[in-house]
Amino acid sequence: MNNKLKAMAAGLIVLPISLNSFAADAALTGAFKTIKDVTITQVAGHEMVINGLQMSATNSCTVTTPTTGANWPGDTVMLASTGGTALPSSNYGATSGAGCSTGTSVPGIFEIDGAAGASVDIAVQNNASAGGITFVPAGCAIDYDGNADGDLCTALTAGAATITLAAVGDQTVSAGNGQPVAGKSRLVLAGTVTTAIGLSAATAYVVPFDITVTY
Amino acid sequence: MQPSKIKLSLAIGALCFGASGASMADTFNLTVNTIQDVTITPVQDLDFGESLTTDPGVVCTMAADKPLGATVRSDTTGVFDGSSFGALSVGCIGTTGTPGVYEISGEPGLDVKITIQDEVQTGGDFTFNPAGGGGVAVSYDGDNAATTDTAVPLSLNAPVTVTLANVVGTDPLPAQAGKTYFTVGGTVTVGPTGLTSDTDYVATFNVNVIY
Repeated sequence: MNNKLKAMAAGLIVLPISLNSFAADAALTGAFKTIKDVTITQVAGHEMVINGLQMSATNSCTVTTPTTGANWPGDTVMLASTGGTALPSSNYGATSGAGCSTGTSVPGIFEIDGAAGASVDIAVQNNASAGGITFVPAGCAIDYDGNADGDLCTALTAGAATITLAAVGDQTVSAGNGQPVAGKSRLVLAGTVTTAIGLSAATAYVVPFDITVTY
Repeated sequence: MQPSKIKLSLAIGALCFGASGASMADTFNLTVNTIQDVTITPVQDLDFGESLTTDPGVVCTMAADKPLGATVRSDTTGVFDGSSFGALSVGCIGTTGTPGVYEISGEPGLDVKITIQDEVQTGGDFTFNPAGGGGVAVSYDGDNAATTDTAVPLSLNAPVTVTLANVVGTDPLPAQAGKTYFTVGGTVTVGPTGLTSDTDYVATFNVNVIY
């Protein structure tokens, strides 16, 4: 008799299959940061005053628009390194016009404060009016490039401009210039006032106007 | 004549040891291999940067729908071209953030279901939708010659199915066998009470991956 060796077919063993699927859960996070709120404030000692308006209707006075080349308040007070004079020009605040006694006024200087290097839109209210006097603004705001020196004063167009606040890189400047401060820019404001009515002599008239700054 | 005692003993022995000339039982081994666990690993942290104002109702979205092929290890650079990856929407401050990139690891060539889930935020008055911005997951084509991997858009609180990369030679480099990658940009929406100026915030979300 030939013996036959039969191997049990162990490979046919059926194993129980789990009904639990393989899975993974992950609790994940993302980061963001809120930007520093943007504000605008009056620089003390540089409140805007226009002098010399005569009392008859349609009389007007214009304060010459400051630029880095003329009628300039100075890089020092503007916290800038533009290459303009560090101190005020001799004709800073020069005022003239039809129905205006030629003389000197005080342009307004305002400080914008926000996140370093951020872009900011500036809007100065055009044709603000009170007591029969209308104000049309003109001026410029320091626009920084993030590097030493080379700052510009970007002119307002119809009261509007977009500028970049100073960054850390702007704070390094050549000697004799103003000193930028990261997160800030300053705006110098002149313009024209016109009266529609007869005014009283030797009287201070106040014309409120808005400046809006927006990221 | 009496039966041979020797033959009888052999027969008894055969019965005792389970062996005989007609059959034999022996023990063999069967090997069962389980598939690899599925895991999720962050590759690049999600960061919008300093990009939100504090005003109520602000909505800021970071795009994540077009990562670079090298970033998500796909050879299909016509789809994964890196254009607008990290772009910040109107409503954000600045132009570019950093989307999150995450690796899923599992069994080469198998499908997985990915579900991205939002959560109630406890760190401030804002909501975070992790599927905002069009995050995608790579589904590999399993073809060494074709460049037809697909970008499967993630869907908030709903599963999407993608195929993990197969072994090298079936899915070519830069794919890694058993892995796929997904991206998250997201949308931050500031609540009615606003946020605090100049402050770091953390948004949370969850991802579930299952075979």
